Amino acid sequence: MNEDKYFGKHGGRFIPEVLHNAFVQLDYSYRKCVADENFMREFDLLCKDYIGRPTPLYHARNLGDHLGGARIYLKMECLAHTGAHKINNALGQGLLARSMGKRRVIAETGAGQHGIATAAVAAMLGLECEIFMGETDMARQHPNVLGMQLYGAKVTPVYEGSKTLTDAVNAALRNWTERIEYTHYILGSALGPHPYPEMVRTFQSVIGREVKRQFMEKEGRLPDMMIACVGGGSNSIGFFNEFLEDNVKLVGVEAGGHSSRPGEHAVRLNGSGSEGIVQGYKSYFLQDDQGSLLTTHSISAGLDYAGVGPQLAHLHDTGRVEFVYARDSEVLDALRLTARMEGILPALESSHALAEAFKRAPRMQKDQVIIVNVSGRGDKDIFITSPHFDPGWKNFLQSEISRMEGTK
Amino acid sequence: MTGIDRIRNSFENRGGIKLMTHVVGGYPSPGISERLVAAMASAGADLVEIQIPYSDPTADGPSIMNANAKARIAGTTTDMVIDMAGRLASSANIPILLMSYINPVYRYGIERFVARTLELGISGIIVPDYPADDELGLTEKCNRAGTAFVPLVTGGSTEERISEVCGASDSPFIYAVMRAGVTGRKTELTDEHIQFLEMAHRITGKYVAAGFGIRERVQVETLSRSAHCAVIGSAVTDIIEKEYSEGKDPTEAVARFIRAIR
Repeated sequence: MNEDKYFGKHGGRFIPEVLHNAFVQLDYSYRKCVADENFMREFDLLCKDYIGRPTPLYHARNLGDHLGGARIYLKMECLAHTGAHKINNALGQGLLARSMGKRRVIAETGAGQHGIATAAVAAMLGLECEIFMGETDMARQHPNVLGMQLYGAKVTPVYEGSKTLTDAVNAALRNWTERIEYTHYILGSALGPHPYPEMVRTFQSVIGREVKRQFMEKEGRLPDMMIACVGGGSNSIGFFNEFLEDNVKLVGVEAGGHSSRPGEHAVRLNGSGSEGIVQGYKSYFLQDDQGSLLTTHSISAGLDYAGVGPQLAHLHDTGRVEFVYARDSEVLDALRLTARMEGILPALESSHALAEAFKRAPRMQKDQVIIVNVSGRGDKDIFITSPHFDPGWKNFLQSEISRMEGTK
Repeated sequence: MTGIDRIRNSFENRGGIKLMTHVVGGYPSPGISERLVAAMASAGADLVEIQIPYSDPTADGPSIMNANAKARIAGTTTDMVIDMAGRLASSANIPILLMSYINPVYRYGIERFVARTLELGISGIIVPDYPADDELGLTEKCNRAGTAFVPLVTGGSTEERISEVCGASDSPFIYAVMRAGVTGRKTELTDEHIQFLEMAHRITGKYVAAGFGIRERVQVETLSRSAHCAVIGSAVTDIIEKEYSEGKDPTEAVARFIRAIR
């Protein structure tokens, strides 16, 4: 077993032979680029000037006072350009694609945030861009589809399977095998065949490095607890990575969906998932006894995925990260409370992490601190959240349609 | 006689290019897929690969993806396909192979899966997303069972890589993927393909089966210059889909197609 492809027993690289050369090149170029001062200087500069890094670490005093117990800080990835942490990795891999001489990038997207980020970076770097998105996700995240198209990307609907993130990954892999010579696949989660889990973590770990520095400046110490939502795992591993060796409690929150019944959630790490090898890597997956993936459900498209990144699976095995879940209804409550108390509208994905923080804070001491990664902003979710929050939403949509028809 | 022996005999028998056909186990129904394999053997297929249906068949194009989905909806399990392959291995007079993505095999248990091929007389297995590093020891276990683990090589592979991929397996033949992308769409065969097939044979000393996008007799004729076997998958699946959706039993049309392409 080749150790450096694995995190414990998870990870590896299970790819069709047709992708072999692409991965040899990717391995080589990735290692060369991250060791190259000029490459990293350009990445850092664009992190600052294009993404707007560092993103703030905000002390949410109102939430703390309201809940009692631990103080709450929010890492505001929602303020990164294009509205989520996804842009960190998209920028890193976009620069990598350019340095490999590839003129075209492709990506999968669930919530649309990775698609938006990739499309923006592609526009900025002058690369052709095609985004694969499940038909179900396209319907529920339509504003993001329009954004990608404005950035010049082609958005291709995926009609297979459950028409969500898993199927979008498959479609991107299929497309890649046909156009390897001039295409780089910007995978958005810290999963897939080696070196993707490591590479995505590397570009996302800027989040945790900033948190450490910012919190040290503010409080002169480490936080007690850090909480992030976990879909594939890119925001959580980027947030946690810098703290793995420290005495800080790390908590990952999966999508609890409606219930624990198969198909109604995306909780992989509480015993529902089992070991498998899917989409090129070994990890825990929600699968049936034949090894086919189960469908998943989450109110947030970004967490609606049957697998989890191999490093997080390993951190689950070792107990270094504790995994819990939040149900859809708890997520909506957490979103509403954060908006009301702090004037911050978090993404539904990030609201899973907030929901867990709100459960834990009241049970902790005043001098303790929880930092929550607000991985994205919630504007994109308006078509999902509004029917829950606004009784007049349907009338509004109807009147919008009438207005558009009237002005034809 | 081991699976490897049966396959070698099949390649050594009679002259001319061999034909390997493909079915998705359980598609369009368990009963029909079994009869399809028998009909293929009678119509002149030299080997048949039976695919275990799976949710995420990433190397397959629309036809075979659709067949996978339908077989799963019909409740086809890995055991059902293995048992069916076992029955056909004893009744049909040709080598029967299983094709599966790695996860159903992993889930079934690598040891158990290979043991079942030996027990039932299934001659070989093809796993499109299992690379040559053999991290789970699948190739090695197949070698010990005398079951052919069929390596896949592609046009972009260097000579070095081809030796690496094929060296570990005792399979008498390798599967040469004729173009990038997924199964289905017709491949325009060029001199480059022919040279690649000749190179693959020279490097490995094994028989070479050529697949991906082989749909017509004229392609099979072209391949016969340098390949030892043509693999036909999606073209047959398309016939099955068309016939079955029109309410017909597809076995006769499939047999006709195979006789015509032979």
